[in-house]
Amino acid sequence: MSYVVSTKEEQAQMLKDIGVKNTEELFNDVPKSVLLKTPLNIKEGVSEFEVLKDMEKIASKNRLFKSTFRGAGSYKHLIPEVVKHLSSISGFLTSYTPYQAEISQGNLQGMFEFQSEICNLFDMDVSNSSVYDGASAVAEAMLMTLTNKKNKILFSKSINPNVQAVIKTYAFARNVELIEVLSKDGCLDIEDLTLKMSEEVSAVIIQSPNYYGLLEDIEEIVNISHELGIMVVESVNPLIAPLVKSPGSLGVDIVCGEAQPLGLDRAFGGPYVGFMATKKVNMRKLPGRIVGQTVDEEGKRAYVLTLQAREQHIRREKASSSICTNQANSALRCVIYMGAMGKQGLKEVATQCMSKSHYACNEICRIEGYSLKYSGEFFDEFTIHTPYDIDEINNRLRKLNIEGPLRLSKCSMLVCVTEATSREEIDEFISILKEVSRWS
Amino acid sequence: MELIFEKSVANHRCTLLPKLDVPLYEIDKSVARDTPFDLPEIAEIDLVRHYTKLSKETFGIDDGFYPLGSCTMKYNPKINETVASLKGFTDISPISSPEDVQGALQVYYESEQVLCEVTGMDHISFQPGAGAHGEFSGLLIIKKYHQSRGDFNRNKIIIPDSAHGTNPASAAMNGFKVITIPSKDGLVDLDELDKVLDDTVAGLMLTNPNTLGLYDSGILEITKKVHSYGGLCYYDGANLNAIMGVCKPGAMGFDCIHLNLHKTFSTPHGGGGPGVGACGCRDFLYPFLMNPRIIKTNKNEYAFEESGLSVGKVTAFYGNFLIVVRTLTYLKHLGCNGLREVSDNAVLNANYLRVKLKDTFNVAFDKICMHEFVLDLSSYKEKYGIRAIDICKRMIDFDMHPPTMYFPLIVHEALMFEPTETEGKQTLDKVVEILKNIAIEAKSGSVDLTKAPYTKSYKRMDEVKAAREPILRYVHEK
Repeated sequence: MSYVVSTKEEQAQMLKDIGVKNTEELFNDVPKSVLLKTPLNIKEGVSEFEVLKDMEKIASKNRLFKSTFRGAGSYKHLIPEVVKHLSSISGFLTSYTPYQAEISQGNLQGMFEFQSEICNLFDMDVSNSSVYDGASAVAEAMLMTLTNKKNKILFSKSINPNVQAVIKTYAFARNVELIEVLSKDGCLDIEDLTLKMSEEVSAVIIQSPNYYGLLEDIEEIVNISHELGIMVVESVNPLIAPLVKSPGSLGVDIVCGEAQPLGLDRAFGGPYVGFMATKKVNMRKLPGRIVGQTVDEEGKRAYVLTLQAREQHIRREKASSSICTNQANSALRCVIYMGAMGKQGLKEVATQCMSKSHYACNEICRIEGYSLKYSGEFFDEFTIHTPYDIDEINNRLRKLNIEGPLRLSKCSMLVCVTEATSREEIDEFISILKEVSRWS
Repeated sequence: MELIFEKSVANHRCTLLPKLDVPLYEIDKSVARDTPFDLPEIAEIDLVRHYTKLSKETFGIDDGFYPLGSCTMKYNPKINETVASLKGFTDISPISSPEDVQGALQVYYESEQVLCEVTGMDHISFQPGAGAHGEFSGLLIIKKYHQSRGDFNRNKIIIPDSAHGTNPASAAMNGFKVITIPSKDGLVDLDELDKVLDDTVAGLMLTNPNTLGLYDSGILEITKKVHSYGGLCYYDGANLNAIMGVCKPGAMGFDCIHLNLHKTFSTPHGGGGPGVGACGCRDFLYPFLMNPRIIKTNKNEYAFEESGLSVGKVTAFYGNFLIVVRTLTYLKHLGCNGLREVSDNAVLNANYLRVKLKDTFNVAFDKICMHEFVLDLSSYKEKYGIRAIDICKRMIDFDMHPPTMYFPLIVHEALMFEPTETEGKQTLDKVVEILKNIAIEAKSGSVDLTKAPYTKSYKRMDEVKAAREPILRYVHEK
C-alpha cells in the first residue's frame, strides 16, 4: 500500500546493481543504537476503500449546519462549482514552485493574474503571489515597515484577536515593541492613537471592516500617521473592495489580509491565503514569491519568479522573510473565483452581503431587548447588544441546526450574514431571537 | 498566452447569484468607492478554456518524472483529494464549538499520535503553513525555552553550510545570529562545531540525511556536543522520506523538528503550496508549543487546551486543515509497513539512479546515499562549456522535470536528484538512458544544449529583463 512500483524481483536486481546484499545495508551509516529494533507502533495499512469509509466516519462527526450566522475571520460564501474543478486540474495541483519557467507558464501566469487582480482591488502597485494566511500576512507587513531607528508598532485593539495573537508572536521573535491602541465606539480611538505616536513608531496596524464589523476612518488615520512619518498597514476583507474607497486611493502604505472570502471553503480554518500589496516604493521589501513578466528567447511574452534577491535561497539570513512554499493553489482558486464572479458579480456579492446583513440587523433591532452596539457603517458583520443569555440563544438555534452568532461577551454577540444566507433562513433565525425575547 | 484580462468582453459573465431577496442597501456616498474597479468579464466556457489552457502549460507529477531534490515530489494519491473534499471537512467553521467539530479535532489528534511515533517526538502542532514557517516556529520555541530559564545570552544558531536557505532566514526572523560552519566530506565537521560551541549558542539546525543525501553517522556525537553546552537541536524534516521506520529524529538527539507534510506525506504541492510545516517537540518543550493544542479528555472527547508559556499562534486558526486530512488519509492507507516500504524504496531508487549515472557524471561524495544524491557537473562546464542548467533544460525536451539545480551551494554545478519511491525500475532505466544520451550530446555538440528546450511552447526566459524592468501586474492598455 505504498505506491511503490518496482516488484520484489526488480528491487532485488536493483540491490544487486548497487552492490549491496539487502536494503538494510543501505542504512549502514545509521548508528546501530539509533536503528529501530521493531516496526513502528502504528496500525497496519488498509485499502483506500476502507480508508475512505473510516475518514467519512470521522467527517460525519462534524456537524453540518443548514445555515450559519458565524464569521469572525472565516466566512461562508457561495462558491461556483467551476472554481473547485479548475483549480484541481492535476497540472496545477501536482506541480512544485515554478522554478523551471519553460514548463510552468500556467502556474506563473495564474500567479501574475492573482497579483494583478489584488492590485486592482486595492489600487496598489505591487502584490506578492500569496503568504500562509491573513494573520501571517499582517505580521509580515509589520516586519516590512521596521527600520533600525523605528522598532515600535502601534496596533488597533479592534483587530481580530487571532490576528493580534499572530502579530504578537512575530513581534516577540523579532524583539519588536507592540503598543495597543484602544477602541472607542467599536473603532480605533483616534485620540489614543495620537497620544501613542512617536518618532520610534514605524507603523500603525488597523483592520477595516474591523473585528466588530465596522469600517474604520482610514482617511483620518492615514493623514495623522503620515504627518509623523508613520506607515499605515491595513488588513481588509477583499470582498468589500468593490464598494468602498480603495486603500490605495486613501494613501494606505501596505494592504494585506485574508482572501478566504474569495472562493475558499471555511474548512476548519485552512488552507486559506494571505495577500500583501503595497506601493512601488516598498517593492523590494515585500516578502514571498513575486512573478514578473518577461520574454523568452524568441521574444514571446512569458512569466518568471522575479526580484529573487529579496529571498531566502539567495540572501539566506539577510532575506526579508524565510517564506518559501506559500499558498499558490489557494491563490489560484481566488483568481478563478474572481474570474467567475467578474467585475459585476463581485460587486453583486458584496452588495448582497451588505443588504442581507442590514436587513437582519434591522429586523433584530426591532425585537425588544436587542440593539446595535455600535453605530458606525458595517459590512457583513455587526455587534448586537442583548441582556438575554447568548448561550441559550445559540442552544436553541443549534437544535434547529442553525449555527448562531459568536458570543463576544456576556451581553454582546457578533452576527455575520452573507449572500449565502437566504431571507427565509434569516427570518427563521430572527424568530428564535424573538422567542427568547418573549420568554425572558 | 493571453491573460484573462485580455479575454474580457464587456458584460460577459458566468455565475448568477440567487436573486437578492431583501431590500437593497446602498453604502453611504462618503465612503463609497470612487476609483475604477476592474476585474475580467468572461463567460463560464471561456473561463474554463482559459484555465484549462494554462494547466496544459504546467508540468506536474502526473505528467512525468519529477526528481526535484529535497522536494520529495512523490505521487499524490487521488484518494487524498476525495477525502479532503468531503463536506464534513470543507464546510465547517474554525470557531465552531468543539462539540460540533469533534471529527476535525480527531483528525489533528490522530495525525499527531502517528507522526509522534514516526519521529520520536512527544507533541506536534500543525499550525505552520510550510517548512520555513515550521522552522520559524521551532526556533521560537527554543528561544522561549532559554528565556524561560532566565538565560538571555543565547543569541546564536549554528547551521552547516549545506543547509536549506530557509534555515538561516528563519533564524534571523527570530533575532538570532547565524553561525555557518563548513562541512567536511559533506558532513558536519566536528572540529568546526567545537570551535563555535559556547554558552551563547541557542541551538543547532540540521537536516539528516542532509542536502547531499548523506546520513551523518556522527549524529549522536553532534547532538551530544550541542546539548553539553546547553544548546538545543532542531531537525529540519525536509528529508524525512529516507528514514521512516528506520530511525527517529528523537533518537538522534533532536529536541524540536518540523515535517513537510507536502513532501513526505504525499499531499500535493499545488504549484507552491498550501503545505504544512508540522512542528514537533519533546515533552520538556511542550509548554512553549503553539496554542491551542488538541487533547483527548478522560471522557474520550477532543478538546482545546492552552499553555500560558506558549509562543502563541503563528496562523489565525489551526493551520492548513485539509492538508492534514490528506496526510491522515495517507498514513492510514500505508500503515507501519507501508511507511517503511516508502523509505526503503526511496533510498533504493536514489542509489540505483546514482550507480547507473556515476560513469557518465561525477557524483559529489560518491558513496551509499539516502533518498537523494548530488551530481557535480563542473567537468562538463570546463571541457564542453555545458552547464548544469543546460542539462536540465534538455531534460525538459524528454518530458521530465529537471532536478534541483545549483543547490546545495557547496557543490559547483550541482544537480540534486530525488527520484522518490513512487517511480519504478522501468522509469528509472529510461531516465538513465535519456541522461546518457544528453551526456553524449553535451560531449559531441551534436545538439546545442545551451538552447534547449527545443520541443516546448516556450524557450529559455530572459530573467535579467524581468528583474531589471519589473512588470508585476497587468495594466490595461487604453
